[in-house]
Order: sequence, then C-alpha cells, then structure tokens
Amino acid sequence: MLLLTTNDLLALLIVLASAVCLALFYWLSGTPKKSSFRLPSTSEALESLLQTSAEDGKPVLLNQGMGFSPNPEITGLLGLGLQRVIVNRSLTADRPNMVESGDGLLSLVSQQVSRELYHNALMPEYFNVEQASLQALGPMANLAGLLTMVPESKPSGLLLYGSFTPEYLLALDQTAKMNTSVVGASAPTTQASLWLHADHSAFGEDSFATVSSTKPEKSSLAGLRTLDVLRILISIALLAAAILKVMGEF
Amino acid sequence: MRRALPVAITISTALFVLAALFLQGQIGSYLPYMLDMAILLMAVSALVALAYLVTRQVNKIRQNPTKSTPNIVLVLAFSITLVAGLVFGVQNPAYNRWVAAIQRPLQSSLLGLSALVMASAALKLFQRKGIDAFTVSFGLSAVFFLLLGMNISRLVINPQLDAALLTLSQLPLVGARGLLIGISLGALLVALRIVFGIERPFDER
Repeated sequence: MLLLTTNDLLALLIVLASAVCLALFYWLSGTPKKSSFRLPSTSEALESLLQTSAEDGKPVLLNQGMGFSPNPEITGLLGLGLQRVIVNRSLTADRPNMVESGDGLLSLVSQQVSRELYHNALMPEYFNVEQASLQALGPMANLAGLLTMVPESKPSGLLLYGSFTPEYLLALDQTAKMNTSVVGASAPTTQASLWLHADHSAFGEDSFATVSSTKPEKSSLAGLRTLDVLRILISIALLAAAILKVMGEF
Repeated sequence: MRRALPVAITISTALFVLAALFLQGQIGSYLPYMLDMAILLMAVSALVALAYLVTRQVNKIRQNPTKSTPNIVLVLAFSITLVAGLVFGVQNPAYNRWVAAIQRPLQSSLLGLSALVMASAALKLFQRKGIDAFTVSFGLSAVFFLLLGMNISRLVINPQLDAALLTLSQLPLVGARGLLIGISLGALLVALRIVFGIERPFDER
C-alpha cells in the first residue's frame, strides 16, 4: 500500500517532469548551439580568465569547497565540471591549473577526473596528484590552507566553486591584485557575503549554468534548456498558488 | 566493461535510493544499510586523502627542510592528535577538551577577522563595483533591513505602517527561497544527468 503525501506527490511530479524534459531535449534534439542560450556573466569571465592565465603562464587556482561533508549534497559536485574545463585547458601548460578541496571523497574523485583527462590526452606521465589534492579536512582548515596557498602559488585567478561558508571572503580578500575571482556557491548566505568581494558571482541555478555553458556538449546544453522550461513552469505554479491564496482557496 | 560498470553501479544505486525515498513502507528499511555503506566509503576515502596530504607535507619537508616550519608543525600536530585519538578514543572528554582548546580560539580568530573584512568589503563595494542599480539597491536594502532588524517598528505607532514594515521584513526570506529553488533545480538536473548516465562526475565526461 503506497502512502504518499501531497508533498511526496508534488516532488515525484517535479522529478518525473524534469526527467521527461531532459530525456526529450537530449535524445530528440540535435546538438544545440551555444549561442542560442542565455549565458551567465561568470561564463564570459571564466573564459577571459583562462585566456589571460594561458598568456601570463600563471595557473588558475580552483577550490571546490567542502564537497560531501558535513552534509552530503549534490551541490558538492559543482566544482568537478569546472575542473574538467580548466584542467583540459592547461594539459600542456608549464604551470598547470590547480584544484584543491576540503573533503576526502571529493579530492579522490577530483584526482580521478584529472588523471582521466591526462590519460585521454595520451600524456599520463604529466599527471601529478598534487594538481588535484586535499587542502585539509573541514571548512576552517580548508580556508586556512587556501590562505597560504594563494600567495604561495601566485595564481592568475581564484575560482571558488562548490560548498563554502561566508568566511571564505578572507581568501577573496587576498586576490585583490589578481585578474579575476569567480564564485559559485550553493548556500544563499555564502553567495551574499562572497558577492561583496568577488569580481564575478553566480547566483542560484547560474552556478550550475556557468559550468554547463563552458562545455558546449549535448548533455550540458540539454540541461540548460530543461532548466529554462522548469523555470517557466515553476513561475506559473507560484503565480497560480499566489492567486489561489489571495482568493482564499488555501 | 571497465567504463560501463561504474555507470551501472551509479544508476542502480541512485534509482534504488530514489525508490526507497518514495516507497518507504516497501523498501525503506534497506535505506539505512545503503547510507551506512556510503558513510563507510566516505570514511575510507578520507583516510586515503589524508595519507596523500601527509605524504605531500613530508615530501615538502624533505625537499626544503629550512623553509618548512609550517609543514613540520602540521605533521607533528597531526601525528600527536592521531596517536592521542587512537590511544584515548575520540569520545574521551579530556582529549576533546584538549583539541577544542586549540581549535576554538583559532576558529574564533578567523571568524573575527572575517567580520572585519566583511565590514571593510561592504564599504569598498561601491569603489569596486561602481555605482549602478544593483549596488545602490544593495546598499539601500542593507541599511533598511539593518534598521528593521533593530526593531525600529516599535517606534511606529501607525498600525497600517507597522503591518507594511512586517510584510517588508519578509522580503529577504522570499529572495532566499527564490535562490534555494534555483539551486534545487540545478541540483536536480545534475542528479538526473548522473542517473541517466549522460553526466559522469567521476571520470572525464
């Protein structure tokens, strides 16, 4: 006997609608053009940062935050997509881009991603685990490690992408003389505080869209298109709910 | 086969967890076992990553012993904490007090520092981002909600204005809810792409 509450049914409906939309956009449509999407400002900033970094011969430093701890959330994976983009761009660079994180599992997954990228580029001997390693365990320890890492590695720019706490603005404060700092955080309080100091910030679903738009792949762009449809559907649902509430139906 | 196996495990695990969440009565009792396995895997991976971290620090000390004081302190502190934790156990009150006595002041000082930096960042905001609609509305709303937070509505004797202020004080919650909906949508789509096997965060795709 199934015992589903109204909330369960709504959640199930949203999951099924999203799955159907994604499947339709992925399998039925051809490869979409990148230019046909609204790109967040962080996407252009990221592109510009990667170009400047290649010209200056300096690395880009990406910190992926707390990953799956203390709360295992899918937003902990936010930085992995970005990692694929920035590592791919620095495979043959003298000083490859560096990726750090504050969670054991995330750092191992991150190493696996970098290792595969070097392996696929037929240069596995250039992969070094230090390019994608654990900074420290815990948010404060990760921040303390990042504070020493920024002056030590003299990066061209700093990317904070993943799960962070508002105190990470201390790291952004150190990047005042750098080209760019880009932030994509999952918690609203963190987004608000880091926005003050970052050159470019991605809010809400734009945190996910930044990574997707830098990879013009069918799966990423199908995700963006689905996101647009869901945004419209949710806006209509919220509007309808507000009207019904005003009419006294709830 | 080498590539298909991780994808198959990921998809089947995700579908099982999703099904167990909705069918609590039927297969919900198996969910804690699945979560225990995940916690175990996370703990083992944390140990492996810690071993990498310590190895890296030891290598740095070997390469340049004269300029490695912070690395030496880190390795020593880690070793002492690990050995003490293994000997006394992590539930030992004396051990916990000892760790907290070092950790809390350090964390508090970082928090204090971030409060100062946040205050200075708020002042430098207009200099950094320029004066536009976004920064001006940010500054005005910050002042407005600061005054509201100080319970300024107590000074208002007009009940209609009081009600309006009460409604306005809910606006940050509305904004936060909007951001959370966006983040949840993004997370849902990433999860679905992983379930469908068209996104593989664990390898190069």
